[in-house]
Amino acid sequence: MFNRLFAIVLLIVFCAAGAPERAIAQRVAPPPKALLSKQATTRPPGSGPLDPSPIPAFWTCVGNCGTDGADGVVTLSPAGNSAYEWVSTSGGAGGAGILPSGSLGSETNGSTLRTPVFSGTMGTNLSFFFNYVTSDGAGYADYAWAELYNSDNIPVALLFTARTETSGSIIPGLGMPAPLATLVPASVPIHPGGPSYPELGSYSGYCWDAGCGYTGWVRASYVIPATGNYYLKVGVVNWLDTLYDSALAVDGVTLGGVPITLLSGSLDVEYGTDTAKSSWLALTSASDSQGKPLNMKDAATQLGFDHFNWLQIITTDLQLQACAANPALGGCSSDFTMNGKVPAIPTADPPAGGYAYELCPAAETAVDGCQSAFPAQDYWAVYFDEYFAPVSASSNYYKASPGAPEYLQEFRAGNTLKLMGAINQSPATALGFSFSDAPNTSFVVPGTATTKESIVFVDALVGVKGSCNLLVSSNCSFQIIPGTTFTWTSTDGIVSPQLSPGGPGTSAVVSAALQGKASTGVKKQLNHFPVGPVDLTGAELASSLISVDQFLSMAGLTPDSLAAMGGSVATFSASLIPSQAAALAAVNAGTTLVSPGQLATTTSGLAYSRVSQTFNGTLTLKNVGKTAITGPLQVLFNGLPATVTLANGTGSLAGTPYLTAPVSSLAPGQSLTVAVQFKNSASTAINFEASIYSGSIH
Amino acid sequence: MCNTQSPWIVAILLGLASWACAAPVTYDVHVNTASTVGTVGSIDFNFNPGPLNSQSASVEILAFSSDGSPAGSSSLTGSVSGTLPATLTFDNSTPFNDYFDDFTFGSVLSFKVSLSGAALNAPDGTSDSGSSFAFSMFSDAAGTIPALTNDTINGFAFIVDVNLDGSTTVSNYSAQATVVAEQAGGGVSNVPEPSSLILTSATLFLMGALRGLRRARRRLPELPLGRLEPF
Repeated sequence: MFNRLFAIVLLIVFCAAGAPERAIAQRVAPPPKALLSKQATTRPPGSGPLDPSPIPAFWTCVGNCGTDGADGVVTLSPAGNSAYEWVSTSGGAGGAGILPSGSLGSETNGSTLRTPVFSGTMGTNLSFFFNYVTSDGAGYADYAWAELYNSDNIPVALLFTARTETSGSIIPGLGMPAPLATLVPASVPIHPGGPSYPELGSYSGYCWDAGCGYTGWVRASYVIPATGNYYLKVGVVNWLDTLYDSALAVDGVTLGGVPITLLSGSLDVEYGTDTAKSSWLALTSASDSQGKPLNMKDAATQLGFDHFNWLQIITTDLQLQACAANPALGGCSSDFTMNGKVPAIPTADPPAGGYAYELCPAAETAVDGCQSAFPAQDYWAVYFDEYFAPVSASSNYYKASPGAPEYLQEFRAGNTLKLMGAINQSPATALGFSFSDAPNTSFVVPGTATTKESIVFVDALVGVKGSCNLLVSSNCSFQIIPGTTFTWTSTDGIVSPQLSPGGPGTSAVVSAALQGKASTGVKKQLNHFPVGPVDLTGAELASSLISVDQFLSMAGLTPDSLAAMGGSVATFSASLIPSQAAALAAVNAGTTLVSPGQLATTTSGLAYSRVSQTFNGTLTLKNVGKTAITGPLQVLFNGLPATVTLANGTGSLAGTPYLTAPVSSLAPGQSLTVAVQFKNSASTAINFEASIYSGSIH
Repeated sequence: MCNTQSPWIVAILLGLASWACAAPVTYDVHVNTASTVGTVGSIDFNFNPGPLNSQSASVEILAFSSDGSPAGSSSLTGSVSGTLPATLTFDNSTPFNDYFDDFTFGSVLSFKVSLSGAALNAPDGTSDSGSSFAFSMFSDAAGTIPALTNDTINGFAFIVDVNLDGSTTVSNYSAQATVVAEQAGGGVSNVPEPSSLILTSATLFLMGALRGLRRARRRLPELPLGRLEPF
């Protein structure tokens, strides 16, 4: 609004001063249709704001960023890479791209891009190339910059600035803090003219006035002042208005002449249940670029977060729905929230401020400080509390604990469900962050005769940053991490990805009769991690996983309502652990998991051949069940070490090799032996976990 | 489950079993290398566990004899010790246990392969991988050209597998090699046998158990017609 008013004021001033009408009209009007048409026909696929190429894994973008090759006036950089990263004010976010030290006064919209964290040794030279491109000019002083941060998000050094100016050197930027990097060349005039560069969006090829153009590639060098973990952030921002965009290309970040070695490799998520299927489990973990486990603090930091949490939304809850229709039903009052009503579906779990059943008796408050009045939970949407903590491991009651809130209890020593290890780990030492919930749904819905309680959830791993350990804060936010969104159901005490609320063909019938009795304290069970978790495989996993769009739809969220909760969607994705990714691929390929209890898998030893340089043996499958197993059988070799490959494999499913055992049927007691052959470049231990699927791979 | 009315059988079986525990399984190996006399090639022995859980086992190469001779320094990898023609000792405690040596072939080559350890004489019933011993001969010093074998892909002369039930199985790919199991007491059997003592013990045990079961069945009261015996 301000920009438009400002433009109108300018228009009036310029008209009064007899300024050329053509120029003024060009400034305040959207680009002519001819220009838009030109963009649509000349724009290379996969570049620019309409279809941005993805930024590298674990890089984080605010606004509009991407990866591009030689394009228009921007050539490949002297680093010799085949692509570079860029940020642009075109498609930028309001308030993004402002100098880290603070606003200079008239910034509007822009973008930032940050690298993952890398390790820097004191005295090592950090170097990179950048190229500033601007279609603006004549006082519309858009600018760009780069800042080195430490892993605690503290700015360490402003490395360069570049700013649109009518004449002279535009690096460093006029009126900006002095940069600390050594720049080559040290003084850079603009290559004048409307720069043709698709990342400028509709302003590619256009020039507002004197000052438009591009700098060409400039090398920035800076000596790391102290050994530690750092990341690099670059930004670009519009000045005075959002018209006539500018962009910054960056490439070839090296440390001591070597491309930065990122700590990051992948963020993984794993799903399971307990053996009784009474609880639902998820665990996230991370590994570095060498595949070694990465602690949860480093993983969160590299992704631009302070820590992880989970977001759980209740999309269906027969009890809550019955209680919403008739709050007088028995047991409903325990699910009342701060507004004196049960939460409306869909609702965050727990709802803001918590449930009435989480209010502890006044007498207990005197003993352990638990909350006897609302709020009993924080106001953030995330599942594990950012401000309160349970007064004990088995309690539903919470007390204020901003220094050690509840989410910290869910960091674990292990990084797989089977070996997840102790809870209450420091994120700096934890290898996993867990989610578990075991809602009590073994009761009849209030107001119904026989309908058992059923709840449908959607969940996501989220990265959290800002001051969230405050009851009221203006800068607590979270990002949903794509690849971690899933749905599950608890009906009559059994969790499943497939059960429909109320069971097949039934639904809650609310009546006036108080025939049911709601259970209390059923919504959040924090410490129900079983001893023997079971990974989800096959159809169950396929039924549980949903996309971010499905998550938002089921949760009744729009981008705006998500933003109102402090939420957004991250620009990177997490992955399923390899064995679950392979299981999902096997199911999608048309096969069915054979229960491990039905097939016994054994192997011979492995004889090494110097001729074929392979380890050779046999694998035997024996039907130890009571029914025949239909063939062919697909043997998936999960968890092979990185240096080991299956040399005689049939193919791979989501990166996991498999071998087809050609058998039409395997009767009870019958065995099948197949040859196996492994390449083992490092002579490490060859080990794997076999999972067997029945049927042909389509 | 055991026939407790026949303690003498149990005692005998236990005695046999303990005797079996002490006895390694030995194969006598003879290779006619006349077709490669004078060739400077190489030989390889390796003994490795499987990819799952293997019970402990070890192998000794004894009585190595040939009119040919090792031609260079040997290369040892993993849990293996010794130098030919003296005794070589392998175990399966590491993934890859290998002895490789240049060898100038004469007209004959012989040695004994002696396997022992818990995997052979006390199989635990829970391990899910066996172990395998392999012997190969090559007509080049680098060990890339198989010799004296029909296995042109992998080049194995023979493999001895230690199975999960404690038995052993020989797969002989060489027409020039004989691999003969030594019988208890030092003789040899022309047919490679699974651990015969354990097999005998198991047979005796099963006979005793069956006998006890027959007795037990006779003692069962008659069930009413149409009613199933509980599991």
